[in-house]
Amino acid sequence: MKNGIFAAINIGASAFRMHISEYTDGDERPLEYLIKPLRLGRDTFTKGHITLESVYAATEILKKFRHKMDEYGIKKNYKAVCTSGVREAGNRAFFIDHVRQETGLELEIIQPSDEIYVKYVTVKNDIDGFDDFEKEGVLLANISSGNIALAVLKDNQNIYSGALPYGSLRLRRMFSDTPTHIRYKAYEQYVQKMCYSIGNALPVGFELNHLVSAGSSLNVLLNIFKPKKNMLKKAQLEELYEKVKHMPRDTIKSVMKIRQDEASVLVPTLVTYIKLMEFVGTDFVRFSHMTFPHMLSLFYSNTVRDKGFVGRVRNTLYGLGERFNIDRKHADTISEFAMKLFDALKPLHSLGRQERFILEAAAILSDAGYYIDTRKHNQHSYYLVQSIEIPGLPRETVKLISYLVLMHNGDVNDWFENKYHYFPMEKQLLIKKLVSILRIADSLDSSHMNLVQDFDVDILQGKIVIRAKCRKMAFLEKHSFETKSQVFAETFGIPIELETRILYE
Amino acid sequence: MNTVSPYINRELSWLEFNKRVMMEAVDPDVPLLERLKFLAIFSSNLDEFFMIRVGGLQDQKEAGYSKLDISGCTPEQQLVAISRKAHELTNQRQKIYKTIKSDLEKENIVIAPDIDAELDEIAEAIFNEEIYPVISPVTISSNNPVPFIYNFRLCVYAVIKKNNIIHHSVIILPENLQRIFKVKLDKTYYLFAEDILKRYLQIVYPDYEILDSYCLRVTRNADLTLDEEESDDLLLSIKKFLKSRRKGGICRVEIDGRLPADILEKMSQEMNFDKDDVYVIDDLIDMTSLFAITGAKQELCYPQFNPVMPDGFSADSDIFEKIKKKDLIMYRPFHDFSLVSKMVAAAADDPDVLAIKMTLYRANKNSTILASLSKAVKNGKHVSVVIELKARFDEERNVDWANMLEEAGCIVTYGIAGLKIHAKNLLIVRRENGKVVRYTHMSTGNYNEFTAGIYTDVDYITADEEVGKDCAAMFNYLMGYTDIGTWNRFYLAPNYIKPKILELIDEEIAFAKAGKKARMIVKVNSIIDKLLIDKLIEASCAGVKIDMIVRGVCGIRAGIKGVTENIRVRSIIGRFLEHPRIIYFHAGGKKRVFFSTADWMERNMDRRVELFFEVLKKEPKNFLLNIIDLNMKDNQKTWIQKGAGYEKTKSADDKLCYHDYLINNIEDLHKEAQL
Repeated sequence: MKNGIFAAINIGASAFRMHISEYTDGDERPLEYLIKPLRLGRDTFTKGHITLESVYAATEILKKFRHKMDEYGIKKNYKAVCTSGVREAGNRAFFIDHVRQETGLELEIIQPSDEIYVKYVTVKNDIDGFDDFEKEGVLLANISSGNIALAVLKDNQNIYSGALPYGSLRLRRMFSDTPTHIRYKAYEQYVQKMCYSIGNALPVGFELNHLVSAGSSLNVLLNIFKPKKNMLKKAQLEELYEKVKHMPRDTIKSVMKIRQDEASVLVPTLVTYIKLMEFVGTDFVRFSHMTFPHMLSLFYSNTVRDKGFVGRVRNTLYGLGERFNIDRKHADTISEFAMKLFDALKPLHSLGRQERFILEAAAILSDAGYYIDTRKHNQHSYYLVQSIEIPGLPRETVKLISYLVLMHNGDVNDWFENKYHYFPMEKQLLIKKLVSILRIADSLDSSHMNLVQDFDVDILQGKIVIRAKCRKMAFLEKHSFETKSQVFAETFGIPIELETRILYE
Repeated sequence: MNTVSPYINRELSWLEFNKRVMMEAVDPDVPLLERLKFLAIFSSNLDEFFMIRVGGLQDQKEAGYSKLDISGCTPEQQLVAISRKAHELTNQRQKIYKTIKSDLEKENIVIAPDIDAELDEIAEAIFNEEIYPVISPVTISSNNPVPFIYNFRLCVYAVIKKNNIIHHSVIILPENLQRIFKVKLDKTYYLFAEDILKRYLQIVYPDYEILDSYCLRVTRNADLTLDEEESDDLLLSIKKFLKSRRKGGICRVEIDGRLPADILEKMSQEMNFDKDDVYVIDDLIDMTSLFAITGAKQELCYPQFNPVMPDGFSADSDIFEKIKKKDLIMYRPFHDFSLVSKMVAAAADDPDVLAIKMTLYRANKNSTILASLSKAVKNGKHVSVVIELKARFDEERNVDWANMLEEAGCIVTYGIAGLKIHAKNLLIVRRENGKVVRYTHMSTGNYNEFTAGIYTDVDYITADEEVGKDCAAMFNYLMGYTDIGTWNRFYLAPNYIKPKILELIDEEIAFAKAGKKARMIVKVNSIIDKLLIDKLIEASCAGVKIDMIVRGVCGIRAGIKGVTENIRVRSIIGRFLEHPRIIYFHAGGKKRVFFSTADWMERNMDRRVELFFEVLKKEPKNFLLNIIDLNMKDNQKTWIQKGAGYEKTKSADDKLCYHDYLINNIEDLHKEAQL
């Protein structure tokens, strides 16, 4: 970011936290860190909504945070995000609106995949050797009060990511009626089930080697163990677990000399860590000392960047494609053609890098729907893409990709007239521009036989000509081009023609 | 086995302290009017002691509370011992007063003269103009019982007669009635309102024969214990409490020695007090009024002195620029506290200043610091003040400050329920070349420009990043912005000071046990915390040499063989009120020195927000070591504890009064510190 002061606020399930940093020429200097415990999660996870009393208490805390921002003259240079305590509350809209009215703060709900992505990027920058872990297989677990967000990375691919409702406070609330001395057994069973779910989502025979943790649940363990390195051993966690698993909260509090709120989540936290270490098959968990708001600050101020983002997402998309048995060669071809068209037609569409990547992603996954059925494969591709969660890839981007794969085939006008008529004009135009290009790229390998080897694009007065060099007569391609290029002419107001020339016969 | 207890009762130790204050009134080196002032201070102290401490013990006694104090006494036993000692001191005070009064007459200053012919006309005019219009006599009858006499309110009890029937009447002198009237003729006379009233009683009771009249004054229990947890709005609860505070039980009655026994008996029944609560005063009741006379003649007072600006500072200095280069330490009142006021004023006008924060325990009337804060808000600064509403006797004033600052636009908060905020900190946040720089001021003394001239205290100003971070975190904690703080340099009560001190003493014990030099010097106002006392005893037994410079209450008895034989206790009572807490540890030669706002009492360690800070930079550290050294070398104002009492040292040779020395040489200390 430019030089200045940035505030990051995290409204978590068990506490509100704010981090303020000063950024000067790329250097970060933390100025303030504030924590105010307030268990919104207790309301949300048991009642399904945040009680009015908690809404008021939250507003009072945020008023104070606002004062703190005023002190540094922070007006717009901030990011305030809510995690599961608000995200899952039925009255989250009221909560956000009330806070806006009373404090002027604009709160945003952060999705679990975004939360884990922020942590991934900052942890990657913070932990030495993380790149190696990533190659060898790492489970990054964000264990907070409400949820556990997970990302499995290996060979520069995001193999799995998801958020599961296994946060320590949620577990505590869920089994609050179970007698204390056997409650740990309930936690063990529940967390075991979570590991089973993750295992099912991974490819058969997949091997993990490292566990890296982030999230508020760490604090209680750090308070107890005060580790000098950023690492906790499984054996020490097991020893502690054996000591405290039968104890009621107040006994844990006095024996361990920790706060009451920490004592109440210690046992479920330990269960979670131990089970995850067993799942990964490691004797250590590594962690970053950074707090979540500190991570938010570094991320949203653009101080840390995910340099390998595009490559990793591309790899992940291909990985997903492989799961759906896509024709990799065809995917490569139309992806390459789409990119070439995009670059050549830049004077027409005036789109940027981000849109280029959306087009590329759609080109890779456009035929994923064949995995379900060849009939209406574009519609199957659409919902498969909609279900994708890739850390760092915004939801809106995923949706755009899904519209492109849907419309790479079929009647585009019909989609817009009957289904997406409510989209703003700008959004409709963006989709049409990209779909126009995707459809032409797709038509150029309509036979899936790579008949078109290469092409040139000529932008002439009154028309655009694609001069394709073919291996053989490209009957299907020419036929498909005739059908699919109509959208291009309607979108850009200029006809597009295909000329083929056979190089070898 | 030694059978002498190493513990001393807190109240008796305090009375010993107040005796030392009173004894300044007999020191021939003290100017005459200053001696009178010491009597007034003694009296004022004693008033507060009865109202708070004796009142509290009476409550305990009445509630049947029988827990033993550190010295093994029940509340009842303590009350008996206090009464005995307080009677003794009160009698001694009267004798001293008579001597001073007589000496002042030689200087043509006459206190409470007989109203003779020369003064009669003036006194009558005062009566008619000032007194008569505001008094309301209440003649006691079956329908009119003895009226409620408010705390510290002087009364005239008149016995009058009409138609052969004797009546008793009480006149309570109103709070707003001036008590002393200065009359300058050939001599300067100070007439007291009660004397004038007694002389013209006939005008008050025109149809009665005046048989006699007596003065009396009651002291009521004003134990300020507040359960803050029960109060939703602390401010409101304080206001409510101030109203109810005037109706405590009686814990002392000062009477004219001529008051007949039957009248006293009747009053004690009606007003519910014991014989032991009665103090017979032959001369002047309520000597706190003598403060009004102490400035009567400059040549009978301490010579005036001008505090100096510290080390290279002048009125025009760019304070921030200088502080950024070097930490600044000052020792009030020898150094000019106005530098701090100027720093706040400069911050208020400085366009680069973003925020100002301060704690406020006691401020003076017309405080320029608070005026600067209001100005800073108008100039768009973010100003926050954490006000302690429970600062004893300043509650009402602090409520007013709070309202004034809030109206000006400051963010005013009242700290944490259950914890009194005693730390004195100021934080100025400034943006310099695009970067935030924090200036921290820490002190053992209040932001009070008046007491800054009469209390000794340490001031420390720094732009150190770690200290600034801690200070910001402290304000975040006090203002409820955060519940959890992390600290780099600050040790804060209630959680961190006592463990740190115990750890430091343990280190000295380890050095002693290892046969190495082990030494501590503890300069505090009071020590009564049992855990700390026991640790000091342990240290003494281990061979740690400990010097305690304790101005007031000292719950440890020094010099008991095999128990406290390595401990020496001294107390300095002089021109200025000793107020800083400075602690020195030899630390195996590292010579660690700390200053603090915390006395070594449970209330400070466990129920207050206090600061304990180690001075690391060479120059300020040397400066403080020199201050401690001077404290130890003083041989004019130092009292050495002997048994449960104290003896004054008064060396005839190589006289060194450390206050006088610093008046003239404070800047030499700075220079020496640089070496």
